[in-house]
Amino acid sequence: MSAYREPGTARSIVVDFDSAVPLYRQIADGVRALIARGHLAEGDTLPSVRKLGEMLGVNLNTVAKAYRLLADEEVVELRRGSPARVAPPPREVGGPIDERSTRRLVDWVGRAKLSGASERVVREAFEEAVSRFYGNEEREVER
Amino acid sequence: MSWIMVSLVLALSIATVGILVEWIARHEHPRRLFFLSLGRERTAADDARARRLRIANGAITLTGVAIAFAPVSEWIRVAAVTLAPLASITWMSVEMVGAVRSAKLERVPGRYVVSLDDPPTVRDLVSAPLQVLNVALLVVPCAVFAWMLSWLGGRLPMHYDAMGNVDRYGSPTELWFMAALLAFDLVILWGITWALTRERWAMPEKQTERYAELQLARRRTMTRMIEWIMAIVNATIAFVWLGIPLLSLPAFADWVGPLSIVVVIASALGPLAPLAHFIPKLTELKDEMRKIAGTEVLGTRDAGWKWSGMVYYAPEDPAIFIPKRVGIGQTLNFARPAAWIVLGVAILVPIAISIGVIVMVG
Repeated sequence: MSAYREPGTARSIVVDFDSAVPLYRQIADGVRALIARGHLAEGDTLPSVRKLGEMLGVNLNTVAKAYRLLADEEVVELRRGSPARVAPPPREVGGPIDERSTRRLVDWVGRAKLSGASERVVREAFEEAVSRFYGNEEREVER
Repeated sequence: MSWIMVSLVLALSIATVGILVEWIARHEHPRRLFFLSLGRERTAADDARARRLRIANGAITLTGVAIAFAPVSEWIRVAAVTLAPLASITWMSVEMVGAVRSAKLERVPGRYVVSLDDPPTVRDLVSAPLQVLNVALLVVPCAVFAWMLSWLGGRLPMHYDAMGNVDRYGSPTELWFMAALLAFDLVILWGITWALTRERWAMPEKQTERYAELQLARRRTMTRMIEWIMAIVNATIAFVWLGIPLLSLPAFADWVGPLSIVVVIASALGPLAPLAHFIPKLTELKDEMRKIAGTEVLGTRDAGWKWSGMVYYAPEDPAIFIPKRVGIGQTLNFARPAAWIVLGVAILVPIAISIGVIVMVG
C-alpha cells in the first residue's frame, strides 16, 4: 500500500519565502519543533537532504545547513552514508534550561517588548508556547 | 467511397474543432473567461473578446465545411481540413493570451505548509478499472492482430486517397506501428500521472485538511480525465488497426465509407467528451481552493512566475513539474535543464512518429 496518509498538519513544516528569518533557520526550527512535540521520535530518520529540498522547494545546501545546525545542537545525528536520525533525548530530564535556550528566550521577550507587546500578552504567548510542547504530556500524566 | 461520404468525413473533422472552440468561448462565469481565472470580475471587454472568438470561429468553421462539400480539387478540400481547425485554434490561443495578460493575478503565497509524510503516489491517483482497460487496449489488439496475421494475405490496402480509393498496398506486418502508437499513448498516460505526483504537496495554514482533500481530488480528476481520453483514443486506434485488414476482405468492401465516418466521429468527438465532463469539475475544485487560501497555494515562488503567470522560471526551486497558475494542467520549471529535456521529448517523439508514418506510407 502507498505511504500516503489522510492529510493532516501534525508532521508538517512551514516555510515562508517572504520572511526575514533565513530559510535554513526556518527548516531547523520546523524539524526541532516536530521532535519536541513528539511527532518525530528518537531514531526516526529524517528525509534526505535532496528529498526535503524538493518537498519544500529550497536549495539542497539550505537543507544541509539546517541539518548541520540541528546536529550542532545534538538534536539530530548525522553519519556519513546513512540518513539523518533524531538523536536520543538528554539523559537528565528535569534539569536546568541550557544556556543557548535561555539566551534565546530572553532575546524573544526583549523583541516582544520592543514590538510593543504588553507583559500580559507576552506571558499569554509564553504560556501558549509551553502548552503547545508540554500540553499532551501533562494530559497523559493526568490520566 | 462515395463523394458525399468523403465530404461528410472532411466536414466532421472541421466541425469538431469548431464545436470545441465554441464550447470554450461560450463558458459563462462571473470571474472566468475561456475557463481561465481572471482574478477580477468579468467585464464587457471580456465578453467582447469571447464574442469575437465565436464570430471568427463560426466563420472559419462554416467556410471549411463549405469547402469540404464544394466541387473543387481534393487538395483544396484537404487543405481546408488542415487549415480551418488550425486557424480556429490559433485565434483562440491569441484571445486566451490576451485574456491572461489582462487578468489580475494575485500574489502567489510564499508561505505554505509541507507535510513530511509522503504525498499521494501514482497508486493513490489511478483508477484500477481504467488502467486495466488501457492496458487491455494495448494487449488485446496485439493478440488479435497476431492471430489475424496467420490468415491474412501478403498484401493489404494501406492507404486511401481523399476520394476513398486505395492508393497504396503493403505488407500487413507494417501495421505493427499501430501497436507502437498504442504503447506511446500508454507511456504518456503514466508519464502525466507520475508528473502529477511530483508537484509540491503544499497547503495553506488554514483549513489545511480541506485544502489537501481538494488538492488530492484535483490530481485524481486530472488523472481520470487523461485515463478516459487515452482509453477513447486507443480504442479508436485499435478499431482502425484491426479494421484495415478486415475491410480488405471482399465481404466488407462497402463498409469503408460508413466506418470512416464512425472513426472520424469517434476520434474527433470522443476525446472531447472527457474534457467536457472533467474541465468544469476541475475549475470548481480550483475555485474552492482559491476561496480557502485567497489564491491557490501552488508551492512556488511568486518571483518565478513570468509573462503574466504563463511561464515558471525559478532557478532556486528544485521542482520540475509545476501546477499551472493560469488554466488547468501542468507547466515546467524552465530554469531546470530536466524541464527542457521533458519538453524536447514531448515535442520530438510525436514528430518522429509522424515522420516515421509518412516515410512508411511513402
